[in-house]
Amino acid sequence: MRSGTGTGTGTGGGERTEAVTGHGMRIDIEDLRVSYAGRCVVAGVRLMAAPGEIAGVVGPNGSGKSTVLRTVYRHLTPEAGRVLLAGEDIRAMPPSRTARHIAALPQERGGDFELTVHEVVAMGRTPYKRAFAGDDRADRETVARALADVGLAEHGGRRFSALSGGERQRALLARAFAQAPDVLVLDEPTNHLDVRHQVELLNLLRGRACTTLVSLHDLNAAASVCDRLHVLSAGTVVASGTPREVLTPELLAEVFGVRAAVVDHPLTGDPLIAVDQRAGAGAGAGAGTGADAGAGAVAGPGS
Amino acid sequence: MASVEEKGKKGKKEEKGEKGEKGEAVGQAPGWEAEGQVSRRGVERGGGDEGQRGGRARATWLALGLLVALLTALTTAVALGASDIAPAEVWSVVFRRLGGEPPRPGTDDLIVWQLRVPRALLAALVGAGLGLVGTATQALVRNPLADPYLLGISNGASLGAVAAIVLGAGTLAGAGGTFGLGGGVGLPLAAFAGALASFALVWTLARRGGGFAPLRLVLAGVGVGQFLAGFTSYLVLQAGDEQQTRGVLFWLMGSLGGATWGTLLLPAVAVPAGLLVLQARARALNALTMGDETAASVGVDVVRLRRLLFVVTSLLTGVLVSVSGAVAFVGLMVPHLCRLIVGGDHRRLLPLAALTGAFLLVVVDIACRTAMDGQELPVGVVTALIGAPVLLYVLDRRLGAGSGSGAGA
Repeated sequence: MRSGTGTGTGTGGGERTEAVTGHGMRIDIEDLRVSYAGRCVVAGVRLMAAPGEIAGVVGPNGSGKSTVLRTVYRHLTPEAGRVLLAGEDIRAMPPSRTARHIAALPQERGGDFELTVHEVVAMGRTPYKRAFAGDDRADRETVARALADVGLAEHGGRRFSALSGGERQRALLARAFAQAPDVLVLDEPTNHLDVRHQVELLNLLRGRACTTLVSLHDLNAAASVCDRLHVLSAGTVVASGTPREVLTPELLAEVFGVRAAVVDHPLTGDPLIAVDQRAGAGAGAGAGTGADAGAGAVAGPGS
Repeated sequence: MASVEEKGKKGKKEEKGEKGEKGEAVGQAPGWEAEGQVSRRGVERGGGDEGQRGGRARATWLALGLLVALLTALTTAVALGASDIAPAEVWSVVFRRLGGEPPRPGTDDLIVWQLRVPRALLAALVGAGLGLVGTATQALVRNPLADPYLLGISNGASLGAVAAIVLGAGTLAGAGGTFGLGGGVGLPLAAFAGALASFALVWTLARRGGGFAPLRLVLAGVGVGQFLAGFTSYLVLQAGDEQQTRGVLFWLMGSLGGATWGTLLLPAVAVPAGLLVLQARARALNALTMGDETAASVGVDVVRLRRLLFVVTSLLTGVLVSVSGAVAFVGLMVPHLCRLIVGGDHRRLLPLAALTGAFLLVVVDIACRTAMDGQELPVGVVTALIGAPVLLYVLDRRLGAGSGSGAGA
């Protein structure tokens, strides 16, 4: 299912000196604490992603998912705790070096500065370039491949701000690919996308060989795409493991406050969460398995 | 990947006919296009890699063209005036002086060399500087509406300069004529301090509550700028006699009248240095226009870059204001114009903005000196007359579209 395309690292990174694995690097987050304006948003989070796997971060709104991810791509500085890249604290590295290993798809939409899709994707080469350095052949090839990987090969010359929501998301993903990363960090990549585009985007992730840390609202998407799930609630990790281990009716009741059943997906066999949309908030008690599924609606995006 | 493309081609057929846009068929997933926003106001600059090469080639040709245009404009600026001088004579004077020959008495040597050449060069330097400052400020605040004049930074620099004159020298004597080195380095330093302080204030006001709406930033800039301008006028009016007051107010509107070889020194160092410092960070500036998170994720130390940009833009604004007063809107117009032609990549944008700004201000200054018989207009008046409509157009295009662009937080 995860036959890598082999683009993970290596090519194009002329200035890279570190050992190149091509299979992703391990990420460990240890006892992370982050505060915004005096309010503690993340209180001692500990989670990991093994090399090459897709690790999902799920949890209700405000549980600290985005905050955790932002410390991994160094937008936020943690108050305490560490983010380890293959065992090494990223804070001890220069920002450009972390960026050669860790690429991100943040939630921000970007300003309107007349950049073309190609220019946006070429930003992914920034950590490899010295001041005044132009794009060399390897850069151009990497960017072209990244564009092709997301199906935008013919759209490099278009204005980024004129793209549709789905195209934008793919272009930003291509920018992350152009960084030739070992680790991809994606913050709600399927937000604002309709179902079909969600499926296509998640399939793009399955095709990569690098380690992926992704926050998702849609629990069924998380259950089908992730090898490992970490459930966040009020700034701490309350459960970790495979989707099947983690996504139990009890946990869904306790953390998300919904009555739900977990059944096997009739087509894929992945765990499928069927939420009882009629139950009142907090009606978690008495959630069944299998048998209740018919009465509930399937958890959708933005649930 | 293949699956995306394949799916793309299938559903595409129905929509394809009515769109009738050839050359963008291959590999586009249908669903993405079905959202119906394909090139809303999108001008396509060619496809893929060719598009990039096209942009670069266009930028190179434009730069060469601008260079030629700038030289022509400079020649014209020196040739035109109270007494017109033939362009050939202009260059022969310049070459003779560069060759070390003393001026010939009874000729136009002195007019050319002591009055018109410094003034034309000052116009070019100030224009180039304003183009750079505008480009950098817009990236810094991630807002294409930003410009040192609109954000009140120029007014801060003016207040600093005037305060230095009034409080430091005690009188306004001589201020109307020779700014720049008139007050040594004290004047530009005070202008820099004023620029930095007002920029920090506007930034803090606009950033309150974490958000960063474009309109909020502009309104904060206008508010702070007007307050500072009022304070500056007060200082000027209570300190000098009528004649000097008139001179200073003229300069405040943005004037190149004080140009001498001495005035040129500071901008001749600061503007090229500014270009170098910014050009070295052109990629980081690109990333910054996408947002702080994006910039951080591609390895840009956002806090450090921002601090540097604050200092560079304030320094440049301080230097420019100390030699020419607050010239309106050039910093807003020039980057906009350049972006429309060569796109938003700062590696191309910065040098072109400098060239375009230089050309624009030299031409504007020619108009200022020749529009009225026996009297000249301050350049700032003319740039305001051109710039304000451009601002209104841009506002309409951005806010009218309801995109709220640049509001990312």
